[in-house]
Amino acid sequence: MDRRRTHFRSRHCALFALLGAAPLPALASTDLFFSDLPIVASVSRLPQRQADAPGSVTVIGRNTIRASGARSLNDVLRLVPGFQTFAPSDKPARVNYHGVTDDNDYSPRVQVLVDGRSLHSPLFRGGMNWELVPVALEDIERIEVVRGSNTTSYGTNAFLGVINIVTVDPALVRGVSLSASNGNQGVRDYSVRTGARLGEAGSFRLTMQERSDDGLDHRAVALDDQDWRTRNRTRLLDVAAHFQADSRNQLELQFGRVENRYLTGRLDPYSLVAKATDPLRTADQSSNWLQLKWLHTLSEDADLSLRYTHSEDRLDNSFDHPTLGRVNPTGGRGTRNELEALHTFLPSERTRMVWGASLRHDVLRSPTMLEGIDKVSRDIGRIFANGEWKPLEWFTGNLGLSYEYDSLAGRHLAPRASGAFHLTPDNTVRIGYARAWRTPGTLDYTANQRRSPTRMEWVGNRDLPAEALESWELGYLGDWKDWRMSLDVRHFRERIADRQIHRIRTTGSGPDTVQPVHDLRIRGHEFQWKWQPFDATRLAVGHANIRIDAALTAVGRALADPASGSNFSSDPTKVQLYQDLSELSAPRRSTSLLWMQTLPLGVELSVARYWVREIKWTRNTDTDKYNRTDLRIGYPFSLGAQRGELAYTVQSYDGAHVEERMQRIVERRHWVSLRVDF
Amino acid sequence: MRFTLPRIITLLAAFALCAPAAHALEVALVLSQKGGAHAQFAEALNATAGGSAGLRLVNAGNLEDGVDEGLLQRADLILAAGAPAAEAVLRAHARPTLAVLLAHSQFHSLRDRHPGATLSAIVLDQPPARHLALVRAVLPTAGRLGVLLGPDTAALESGLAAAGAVGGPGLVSRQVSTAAELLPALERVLESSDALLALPDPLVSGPAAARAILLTSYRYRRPVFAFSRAYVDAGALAAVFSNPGDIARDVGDWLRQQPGTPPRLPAARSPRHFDVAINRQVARALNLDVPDEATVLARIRAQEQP
Repeated sequence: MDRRRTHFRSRHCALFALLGAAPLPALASTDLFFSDLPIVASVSRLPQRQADAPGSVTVIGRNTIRASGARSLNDVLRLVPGFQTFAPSDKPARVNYHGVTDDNDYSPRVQVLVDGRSLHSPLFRGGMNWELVPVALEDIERIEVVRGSNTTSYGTNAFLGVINIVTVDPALVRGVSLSASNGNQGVRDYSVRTGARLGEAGSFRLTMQERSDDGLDHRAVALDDQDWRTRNRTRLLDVAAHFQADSRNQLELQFGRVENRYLTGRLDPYSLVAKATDPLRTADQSSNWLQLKWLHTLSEDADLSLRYTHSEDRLDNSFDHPTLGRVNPTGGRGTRNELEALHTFLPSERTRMVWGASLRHDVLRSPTMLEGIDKVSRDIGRIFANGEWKPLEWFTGNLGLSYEYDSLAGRHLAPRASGAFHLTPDNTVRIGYARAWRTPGTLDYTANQRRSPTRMEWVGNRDLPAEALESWELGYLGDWKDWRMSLDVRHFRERIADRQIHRIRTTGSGPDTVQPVHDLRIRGHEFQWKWQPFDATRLAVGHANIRIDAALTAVGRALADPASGSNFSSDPTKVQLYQDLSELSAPRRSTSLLWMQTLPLGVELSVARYWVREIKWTRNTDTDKYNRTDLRIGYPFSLGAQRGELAYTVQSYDGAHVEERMQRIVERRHWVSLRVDF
Repeated sequence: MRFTLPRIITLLAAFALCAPAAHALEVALVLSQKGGAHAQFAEALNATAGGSAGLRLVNAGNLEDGVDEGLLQRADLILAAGAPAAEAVLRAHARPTLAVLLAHSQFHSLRDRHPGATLSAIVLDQPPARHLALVRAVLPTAGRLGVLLGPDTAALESGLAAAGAVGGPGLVSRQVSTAAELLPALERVLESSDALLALPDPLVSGPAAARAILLTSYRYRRPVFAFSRAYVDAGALAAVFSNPGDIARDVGDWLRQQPGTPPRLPAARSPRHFDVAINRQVARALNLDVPDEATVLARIRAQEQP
C-alpha cells in the first residue's frame, strides 16, 4: 500500500487577507483530513507484548497505585512478588528483590528509572535513596517491574531486577488539582498539581508536594531501646514539558528538586542526653535533576532518542564530633551526567532491534567519607543491543548483549538469551538465561573515613571484584481474555558470586571494609494471578517462595580463619551472623492480595493484605513474620464543574507489628484525604 | 510526487489542450492551494476525466498564484477544491459550483453564507455507517464504541446511533464544547467502551487533542478508529478515509454521467471511493489479531452493497 504522506500546510492567514474575510473557525477543518499528526505510537513507545518479553514483568497502573493505599513509592512495591520493603523510621526505607542486602546499603541491586533516568547515585553507595523519590505517586502513569536481571538493557545496577517508572504525559494534565491529607502519627500531606498547553505544540505539568509525618513511635518499645527519634518531611517540585516540533520530532524537558529533612543520631533513653559521637540531630538531603530528551521518528518502523541527564544529590547530617571536629558522616555531594542514544527499529516483519550507547560521568565529593581525597570521578561507557526474533507463530526469541567500561570497575560483557514458546495464543512457556555484573559503589572502592584521630572507620577496598550473576528461569504466562484472568509463573535459579557485605574488619582494630565473602544460590518461584470476575471487581495475588544458600568465597574463607584476626572470624557466631544476613535477607515466603471493588455511587473500596515471613535486613537485627492489611475507601464527587475525591486510608489495620527490626514497631496509621480539581 | 512549477504549467497546458467539442460541458477547476492534496486532486482528476468526450476541463488557477476570473465566468460548472476556493468563487460568480476537499461542516457554513448559490459538495467526511463498518470489519468483538462529539460533529450522533442500532456496535457518546472538557469526557467514554472513534472535529481531533486521545486510549488499552491516514500513522489502530485520488474518481464518475449542459448538481454527499489504513504496530501492542487492509476494504464494501 502506498504510504505516501500528503503535506497540506495551512496558509489560511494569507488566504483570508486575500479574500478580505474574517477567519471562520470551520475553515480549519480540512486540515484535519490531510495534515500530519504527532506520531504518538512510535516504535519505541509502544509496549512489547508480554508474551514476547524476555522476562517476567509486573505492570502497576495508576488505579492500582491509588488502590494500594500507598503514601510513598516503596509501599507500592509490596504488591510485586519477590519484593520486600519496610516502613521507614530513623532507618530510611529500602526496597530489595530476592534479598541480598547489607547493613547500610541503598538497594543497589535493583535499578530504578524514572522516564529513563536512573535514580542511583554515587553518594548513596551506588544505590537509590528511597527518601528522595523524585515523582509524586499521582504523576506516575505506570510502573513496569522487570523481575529478573536485565543488565543488557538497563546497565549494571539492573542486577536482580528493574523498576521502570513512566510518568504521566504532560498532555494529559489539565487544570489545577489541590489535595490535602491529615491523619495520626503526624501525617500532613499537601500537593498542588497543574498542567496546561504551552503554545500550539507543547504542554507542561507541574507538581509541588509536601509530605510529613512523625515516623514510628519510639514509646512503643522498651525504654532501653528508646535511643532514637524519628520525624520526616519531604518536599518535591517536579516539572515536565514536551514540545512537538513537528510530527516526527519531540522534545522533552524535565527538571525538579526533592528535599528531605529527617532526624538521625542517638540519645540516652534515660538522661535524654545526645550521644556525643552520633548526636540526635536534623539532617537534610536533596536531589536536583534536569533531563532533556529528543525523540525523532525516523519512519513508522524506526526511531531514535537522545537523552541528557544531570542529577545532583546532597546529604548534610554534620555535627561537631568531640575529637574530630566538624564531621558529616554519610554526607557529601554526588553528581551524575549521562548521555544516551537509543535506536529502536524493526529490521523485518519478524524482528525488532534496540541498540544504543551511553556515557556517564560520576563525581563524588565528601570531606568526611573521602578524607584527604576530597573528590572521586568515575567514567562509564556502555554499548548494548537487544533483539527480538519471531521466526514462527509459536516462537519468540530474545537475545541481548552489553559491554561496559568502568574506570573503577573495569570491563564487563553481559549476555542474555530467552525463548518463548507460544503453545496457544493464550499460553506461553519461556526459558531464559542471563549473565550479569554488579559493579560496587564508588565509596566501596575509595572510602576513607575516620573514627577517631588515630583510627579509621571505613576504608575502600580497591580489590573488590564485581558481583557476578548467572540466572536461569523457566516461566509460564497464561492470558485468558474470556475469563478476564492472567497468570504469570516464574521459577528461578540464580547464582551470585562474590556477594559483598559492608562492615567487615580484616584485622582486629582495622577499619570496616566491603568484602566479597559469599557465593549465593537463590532459587524459588513466584507467581502473580489477576482476575476480574465482574466489571466492578478486580483481584490480584502475588506470591514468592525464595530460598538462599550462602557459601564462603576464597576471601570469605580466609577472613573466617581465626588466624586472620578479622571481626568476621572473631567468634564462630560472627561467621554465622553474616551467613544469616545472606540467607535470611529475603523471606522464605511472602504473599500479597489486592482486592479492588467499585461500589454504588462510584465509591472505590480496596483492601491490600500482605503475609511476610521472617526476614533479616541487617547483621544485628531480626524481624519476625508479620501480616499487614491496608485499606482505602474513596468517594469521587462532582460539585458543578469541579470534581474531586474524598478518601480514607488505613495502613496496618491489624495493628502493631515489626517490619525492619524488633525495636521499630509499626502501628496503625490512618488519614483522610481531600482532592479538588479545578 | 512533488509539484514543481514546470509540472503545473504542463498540467495547465494539458487542460487547455483538452478543449475540442463545441457543446462540451466546460468545467473550471479552482484550487485553494497550488500544492499538496489539491495538486494531487487536480492531477488525478485530469487522469480520470481529462479526456472524456463531452467534457472540457480547464484549470482556472489557485488562490495562491491567482485565479483566471474569465474562465470561471464562462464555465458551465465550477469545481472548487477546498473551502477557501469555494468561498472565493461564490463571492464573485453565480455559476453552479461543486465543492470538494472540504469538511461537511465547512460545506454547511458555505451554504449558510450563500443561501442562493447553486452549490453542492462531495465532502471528505465518511458516512457514519462506513465508520461502524470499519469497526466491525477490524474488531468484530467491539460491543461498545466510544465517540466524542465536538461542535462540528454533534449532528453525527443520531446517524451513528442509527447505524449502530442495525449491526452494532452500540454507541457511548459524549459532547465536548470546550478544550477543557476533553480529558474528563475522554476518560468517561473510554471507561465504558471497547474502542474509540475519533471524528473530524477541530476540538477533538486537532494535533494536541489527537495526542491526548491516543495517549489516553493506550492508558485504557482501547484501540482508536479514525478518519485519516495521518491519524493511523500517529497511532490509531485503523481509519477509513478518501484521499484526493478517491475524490477525483468520484467527481470523474459523476461528470461522465452528465448528459450535457447545464449540469445537474448532486445532493451534497460523502465520497463513494475510499481506502483504509491499519497500524500493525499498534495492533501488536494491543495484542489484537487484525485482518489485512484488502480484507477490511472488501468487508466494508460488501456491507455497502444494496
